[in-house]
Amino acid sequence: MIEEELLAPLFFLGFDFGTVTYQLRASIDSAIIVTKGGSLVRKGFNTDLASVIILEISLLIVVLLMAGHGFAYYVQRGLDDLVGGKDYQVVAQVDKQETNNFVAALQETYKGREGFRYRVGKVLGDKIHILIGFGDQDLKNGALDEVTKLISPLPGYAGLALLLDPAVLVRGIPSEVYPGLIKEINTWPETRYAAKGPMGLYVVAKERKKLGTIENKLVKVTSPYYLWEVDLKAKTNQEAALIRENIDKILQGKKHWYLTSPIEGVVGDAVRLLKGYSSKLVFNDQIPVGAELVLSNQKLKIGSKPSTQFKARVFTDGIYLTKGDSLQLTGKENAYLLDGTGRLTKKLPGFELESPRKDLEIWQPVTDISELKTSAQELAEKIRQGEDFSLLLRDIEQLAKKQSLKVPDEIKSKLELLILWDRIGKLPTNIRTELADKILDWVKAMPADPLMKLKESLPSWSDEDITRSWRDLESVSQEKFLRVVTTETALPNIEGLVSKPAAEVREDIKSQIGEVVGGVVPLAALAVAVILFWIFTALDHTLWGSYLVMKNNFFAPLWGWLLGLLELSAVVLVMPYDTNMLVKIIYILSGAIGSAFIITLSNRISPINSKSIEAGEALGLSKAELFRQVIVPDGRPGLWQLYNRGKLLSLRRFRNA
Amino acid sequence: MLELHNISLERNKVKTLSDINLTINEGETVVLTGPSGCGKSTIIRIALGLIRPQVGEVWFEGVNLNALSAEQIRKKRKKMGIVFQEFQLLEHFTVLENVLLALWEGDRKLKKAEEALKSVGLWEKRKRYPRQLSGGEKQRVGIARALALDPDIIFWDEPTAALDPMYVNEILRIMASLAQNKTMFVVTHEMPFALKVANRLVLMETGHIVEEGPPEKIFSHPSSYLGIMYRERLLDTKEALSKLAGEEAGL
Ligand SMILES: Nc1ncnc2c1ncn2[C@@H]1O[C@H](COP(=O)(O)OP(=O)(O)OP(=O)(O)O)[C@@H](O)[C@H]1O
Ligand SMILES: [Mg+2]
Repeated sequence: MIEEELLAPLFFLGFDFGTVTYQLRASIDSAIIVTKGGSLVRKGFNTDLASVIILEISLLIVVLLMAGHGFAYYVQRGLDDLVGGKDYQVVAQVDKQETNNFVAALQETYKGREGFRYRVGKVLGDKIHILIGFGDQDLKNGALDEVTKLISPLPGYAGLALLLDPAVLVRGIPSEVYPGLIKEINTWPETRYAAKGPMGLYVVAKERKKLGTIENKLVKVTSPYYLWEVDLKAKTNQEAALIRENIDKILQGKKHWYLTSPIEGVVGDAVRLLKGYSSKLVFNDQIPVGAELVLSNQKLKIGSKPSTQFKARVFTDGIYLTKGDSLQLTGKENAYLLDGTGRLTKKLPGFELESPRKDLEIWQPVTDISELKTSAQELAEKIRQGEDFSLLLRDIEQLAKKQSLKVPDEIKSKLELLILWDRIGKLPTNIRTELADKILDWVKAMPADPLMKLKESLPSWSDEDITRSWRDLESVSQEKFLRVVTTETALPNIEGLVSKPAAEVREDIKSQIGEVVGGVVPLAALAVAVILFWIFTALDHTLWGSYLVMKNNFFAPLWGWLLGLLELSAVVLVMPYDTNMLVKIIYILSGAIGSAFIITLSNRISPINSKSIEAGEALGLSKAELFRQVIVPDGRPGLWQLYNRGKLLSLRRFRNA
Repeated sequence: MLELHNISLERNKVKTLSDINLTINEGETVVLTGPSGCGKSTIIRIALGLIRPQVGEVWFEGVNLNALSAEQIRKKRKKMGIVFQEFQLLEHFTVLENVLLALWEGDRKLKKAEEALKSVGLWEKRKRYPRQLSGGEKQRVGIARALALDPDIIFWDEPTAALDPMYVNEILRIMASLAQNKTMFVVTHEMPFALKVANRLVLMETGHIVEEGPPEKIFSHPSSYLGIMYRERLLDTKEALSKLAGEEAGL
């Protein structure tokens, strides 16, 4: 029964028993044997000790909850001003002096949209952060997809970032199939909403711990989509065209989407511009990508090998004139399909002519390349000097966004990892130098100067020159891969073709930062609170420990160990944050080991007066009374002493007796 | 009343007591003396059941303490009083509370504490804390605490050793008057007290008893080196006293 009494707090807290019970019982038994008369385990004292332990655990929990909520309130709020918390999905950076204009325009833009909200957040440098949030329904209807388009023209706009937390990002799936997927994903109980965003398909979870389930489900629903990839780097243009034709043939009538990695930045601007000056031909028929056409005022003979004024080629994004001057093209010409050897194979029906040549003078690169280089150098310097990585990622993305460039994957993936590593202090040495060098290399590799020259020389160019130029540009900037997403499962026999799941499913980087900010940081704060408070209570235990040590009770460390185990287990049960099992175990074990250690050192931490104890014993005090009247009031102040106040000898109780 | 049979005790492989035999009869006052560290306090601890000897038996009022559980010994201890050399009052309690401590678990009678404090003349100062008392007063509280239990036997472990000479007689006087109707076991170096009050004197050296008998006999015909030494000491005091008395008479 004695054991039961001692174990009662454990039952009360729903503690998991098993070996612990066994050990506890064993040690109680041995303690009884050691003290022969069983004086160690007697009712009054046990009740006191158990009460003190329960009191400590309760207070520990209160401290923990206070620390947790205090953190959530004070620290998290500050962070939320930067990263948006859960109520906002977008953070826009705006020039500080344009704040009012931006906000007015923002309100105007989203007037009447249900659930739209914004908050003016923190100022960093000369930029202010405006947090923007949408209603769940609005998010499901594509609010994120159009946010860049709607916000970027507003006054003072300097960039935006999505802050979806906790979210999974799916990339590599054709956006054409998003609507169906989104509809399905939105029916999952774990999903808060799914939406198309600038980087892909975002799925925001209701709770962080559901991210894993969502990821698994996403892998499953995207499993019918395969990415076929052929490395073209070692292939000639002819071979590449042939491969493409083959793939086209195989996938004819089946769902497939060619992926052209978008050409970003200044190069992308230039290519788009140049394409805009090229003549684009629009046919009603489907013509395979890579095919060549001949345009002629005359009727040509099928099978012949003509030499004509105009030629065109089918690219993934359209058919462009590759030979001849579009100003001389009327759109009334006959169009013929050429085979690989240059013979006419088929006459095509009529076409329409798009994009006649425009005034070339208008084009201005979005940014001055020299400015970009300076910013990159400043950035590299910041990296070297140890700026926080999450801020760096913002800077880098900001820089890239501003120049409408894409941060190279190599750098980005490194950074994503580095944020986390940096937070837990595990940053590999030299990583900063390496990264800074990469960024400088990247800037150096940008075809900045040729583009400037291009701009100067454009007006004098013919269509052919222009087409050649954008093709050249595309070929330097494009990845040297042929990529197609398909639902076709049978793998064709094409040399070098690899098939893999098309979808790349993983936690969004912003969500990962959110996890760090919302998980590790408060956990660290909690740990400090718990440790400080726990030390305080553990000191309390040294009263008892001192007594045990004085009595040469070699079980003292075992008792300490159990006490720590018990208290920290109870605390871990109510931890307000999702904490992984390992962290919990570390908490419990360090509590237990620490307690054992402290109890062993008890008589140094709270020395007790053995003479007073002897006096108490000589006066015939029971162990409980010895603790209540002598050891506890004589020892270190603490919870036990507080609790003991009601147990102290009092005259009043004598009178009543 | 109290009998120690063949008590031997070893601590850290060092023999602290060897083959101690000692009997204290009801109403008797036995004085134990011997050089520092010879094991006097240890004998008291054993008699109180605070330490169990490795060899030998302690009989108190016809009961063998060795055969009792810790709890039973604790109950027996309520019939024994002890006065310590360094008083051992609890600083966080008042005078009265210190005295009540012994009665806390028993038949909580405030009256007993009152009687005990009055008998040592400290009832007026019952609300003071030990730090507000003189050494002599502290020891009187210690005595009151032992008396409050109304013990069958009182142990005294050098009750005057920590006192200023001016308080020593005050305590010895109380002891002498208590000796008239209490059984007492007194450890002290006060040889005049032994001569005047003790029924029996026990001399001890390094863990064993070297001589035992009525004090008058030991002081007149000591049979051990220790006996001779104590006799010398007593005579020194007597001589000094008579010398002082002579000078006083001569004046
Ligand atoms: N707790 C203990 N552990 C080990 N040895 C002890 C302990 N207490 C006392 N001793 C040793 O036992 C011996 C007897 O000690 P005790 O206190 O009985 O002497 P004493 O005769 O009362 O001396 P004093 O006149 O100085 O009070 C001494 O050698 C002492 O060092
Ligand atoms: Mg002593």
